[in-house]
Amino acid sequence: MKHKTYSFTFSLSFIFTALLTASFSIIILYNYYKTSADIYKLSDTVNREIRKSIIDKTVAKLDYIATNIKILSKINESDNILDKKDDALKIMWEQLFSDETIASIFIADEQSNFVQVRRHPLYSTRVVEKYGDTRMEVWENKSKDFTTEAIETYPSTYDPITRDWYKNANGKDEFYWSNPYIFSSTGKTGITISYPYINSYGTKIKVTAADITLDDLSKLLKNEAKLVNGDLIMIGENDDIIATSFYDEIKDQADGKILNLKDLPPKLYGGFKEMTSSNEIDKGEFVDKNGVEYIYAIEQFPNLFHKKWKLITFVKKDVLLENVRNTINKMLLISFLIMIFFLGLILYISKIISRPIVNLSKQIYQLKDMNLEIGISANSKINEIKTAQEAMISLKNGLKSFKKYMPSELVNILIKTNQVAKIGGGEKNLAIMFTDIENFTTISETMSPQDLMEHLSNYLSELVPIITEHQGTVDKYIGDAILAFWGAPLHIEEPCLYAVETAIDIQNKLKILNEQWVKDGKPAFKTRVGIHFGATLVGNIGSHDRLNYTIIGDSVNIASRIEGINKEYGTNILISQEVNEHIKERINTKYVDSVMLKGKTEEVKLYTIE
Amino acid sequence: MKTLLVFLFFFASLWSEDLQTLRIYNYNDYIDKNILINFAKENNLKIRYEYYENNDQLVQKIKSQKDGFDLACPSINYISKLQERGYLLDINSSKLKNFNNINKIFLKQNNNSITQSYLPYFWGTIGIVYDKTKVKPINSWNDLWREDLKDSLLFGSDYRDMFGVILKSLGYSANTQNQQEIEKGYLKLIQLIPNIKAIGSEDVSKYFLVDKFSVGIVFNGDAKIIHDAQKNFSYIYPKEGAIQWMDGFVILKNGANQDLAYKFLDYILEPKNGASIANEIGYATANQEAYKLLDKQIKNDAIYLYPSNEVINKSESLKSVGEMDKTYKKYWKLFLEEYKKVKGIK
Repeated sequence: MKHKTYSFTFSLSFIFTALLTASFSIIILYNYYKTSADIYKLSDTVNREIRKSIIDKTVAKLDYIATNIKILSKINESDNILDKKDDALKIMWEQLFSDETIASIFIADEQSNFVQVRRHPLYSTRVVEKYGDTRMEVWENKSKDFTTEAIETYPSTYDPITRDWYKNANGKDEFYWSNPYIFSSTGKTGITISYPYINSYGTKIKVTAADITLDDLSKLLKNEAKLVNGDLIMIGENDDIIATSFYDEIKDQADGKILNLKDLPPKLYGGFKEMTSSNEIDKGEFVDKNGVEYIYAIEQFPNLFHKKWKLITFVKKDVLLENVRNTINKMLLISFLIMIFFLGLILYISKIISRPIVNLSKQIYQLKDMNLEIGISANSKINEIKTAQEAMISLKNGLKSFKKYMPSELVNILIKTNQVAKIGGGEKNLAIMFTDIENFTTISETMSPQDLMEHLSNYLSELVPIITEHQGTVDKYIGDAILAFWGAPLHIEEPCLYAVETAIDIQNKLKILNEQWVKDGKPAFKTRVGIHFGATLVGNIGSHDRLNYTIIGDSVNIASRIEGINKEYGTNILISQEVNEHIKERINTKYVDSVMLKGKTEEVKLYTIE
Repeated sequence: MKTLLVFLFFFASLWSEDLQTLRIYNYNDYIDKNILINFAKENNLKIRYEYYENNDQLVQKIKSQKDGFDLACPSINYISKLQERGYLLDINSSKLKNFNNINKIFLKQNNNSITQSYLPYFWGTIGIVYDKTKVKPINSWNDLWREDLKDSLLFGSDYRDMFGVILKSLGYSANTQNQQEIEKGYLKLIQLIPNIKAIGSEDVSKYFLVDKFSVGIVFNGDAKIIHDAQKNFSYIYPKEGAIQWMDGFVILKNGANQDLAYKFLDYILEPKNGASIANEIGYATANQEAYKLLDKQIKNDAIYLYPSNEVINKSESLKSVGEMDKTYKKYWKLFLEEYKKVKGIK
């Protein structure tokens, strides 16, 4: 099965990139979740601090005002508050100015006398007392330094002792705290705190009180909302809304009434229905009608505080995570840039790493084509590659050696067609040549075996290249004889021509060689050549382990006989008529004789070369 | 419960809106509060009693036609301004059963044409107060120009009052409409500048009691306060004659409650009510019958409260000067500029 291959560089780069991406992704994801968790925690802590701070401020302020009215009640122990009323008024005036959220401070006694300092609609004092049998109102509009600017007086319809703040202040040393309500004179939200003065006989003498506007609380919450990154709501005991950070948005809906948590527009915060149903929960999450997720926390006012008020903070999850997301996005961008940079780096490095491998693979490729003259150097610093390089050198040398035993063409073909040599062959018309050295046996006796080997090898080294240059295949050496053929394994157009030219060249070469050898004191090797052309069986013959690429058949025998006949006629090249037919146009041949070869029924004409 | 509260509040305020409201514009500390309360109680109505700081402010407010007062109590010379401009309703004395409680001298003294435009309320004098221990005796307006009084004098801030003083020192009428006389007055006024230490504003007594001024032109009421605090201060009526001031109630044309206005005037004309007010505010009442009910000590106070008829006859009360008012104002402005220049004030 063929599968796709990828270059080393590409593979390396791909792997690196994949690894890097995986690493970054894991880091970023981990970061995201960890940071998100941290953000929630941090926000939780910060909000806790903010709530505490707000609650403390509120408690402190309200307690301060409560203390003030308690002190006020003890100033004049007479049961008629109109005694020393001017002194009391001076003090009340100071108390009023000590805190802008105090809308008014007032006292009433059991006789329905009433003394008040007010901020709204104008700074004024208000006294209700009996003149004769009619209770009269006397209002004095005051400037800030307590000088009167106008007086108003009229019969009164106001009876303080019928009011809640008076009626409900009964416990000794106990304050009465009203629920939040809307002040009729200003339309603002507020509460009233009142304190009874009860004498030693247990009789209620009078009640001092203060009206406190809570609108400033909303302002405070609005400011803190920025730090919380969300919103805050302060609620009273019945889930009445005392103050919120988003009062502006619900102002119109409130329309001069105290809103309850349940009244909050669903568009804004419809999730509250579920949220406050169980009082125990002090932290949680909810989803509003638009599918927006919130985290909320409810904090109770301290136990010592007079009322069970609560402060709620809630934050959109999105807002909390906004920064995290921004950071993550930046991280992604940076990671991406790093990755691009590293990709370049990796490409460069992998090119460097892969070079020896690439070279190696190129060299192997050369080897395959039997180009064994290439240089391979074992110069890599990487162990495995160096080993491969050394092996490649060995292989190349091995192949070089083996090549000498093999017909290289044959091997080339086998390599090209990616086949393993196997038994088999076919019949082909081949030109077959036998060469033989004259009187070799006699010569061999005159030399030492060593010298003989050497000399023979020299001889063969000269002859074989001539054969192969003419595209001949050397089949085998038979002692001093060479068997070669033309036309296999590769097809040749003119096998006879090449064979004859080879024979001519051999003889020419030998003339020169023999001269030299004789000069050197070596014996001359005269060579007889016989060439025939005919159908021959050619192929891999042998056992599976050891094959010979060789030729078999009649033509081979004939070629051999022809070579032997040179002796009789004193020629050194003899060719059969079949060969002659193919070359007579190009090369001058001379008819020698017709002979009857053993085992053949017809005569064979023989020719020699001129 | 809170809805009930709101409802009651609303109801109460509505009810008080339904009450008739009498609106009075007066100088501060110029009535007994109880008078107002009792009047409101007895007539089941609402009184709104506003204070003004000076006559100019009162005139401006009435001119602006805002706030619809029923009654106001300006000084006499300003009353004529208001009358000229038609803001006032004539007082029909026949509608006041207590009208005759008023000391005739105050009705006779003035031009018939303006008598009916106001009801005399309280009166007094403008004279000289000085520290006996520090200043040589003074008995004339001209003494104020003395060398030894350099940079010691508290001068007044009302142009008619002060011009009146200057003119009297020259022997002219305080209400002259003669151009040359006024001019001469201006020139003499300029000559006084070196002696002026300050031009007084509201709390006059403070200049003497705290800032240790030694001499000044003041109202008798202020002189009394100063003397009561420090006996070394003396109050004199210069021999040329003091300036007499008077405040009177006027009924305003655009008031909504004329009947109530008359009722109120009658109420304060009651002897005991008049006496109550006189006791409270410490000035001399124009109400003869009320005077009779006062403490002997007060009645006999000829220096500060109830000078002799001789003094009254010699003193001159300020009247309208018609068109010449502009001239007085012009010279007064020039004086102020000169004064600031000399004193190096911005």
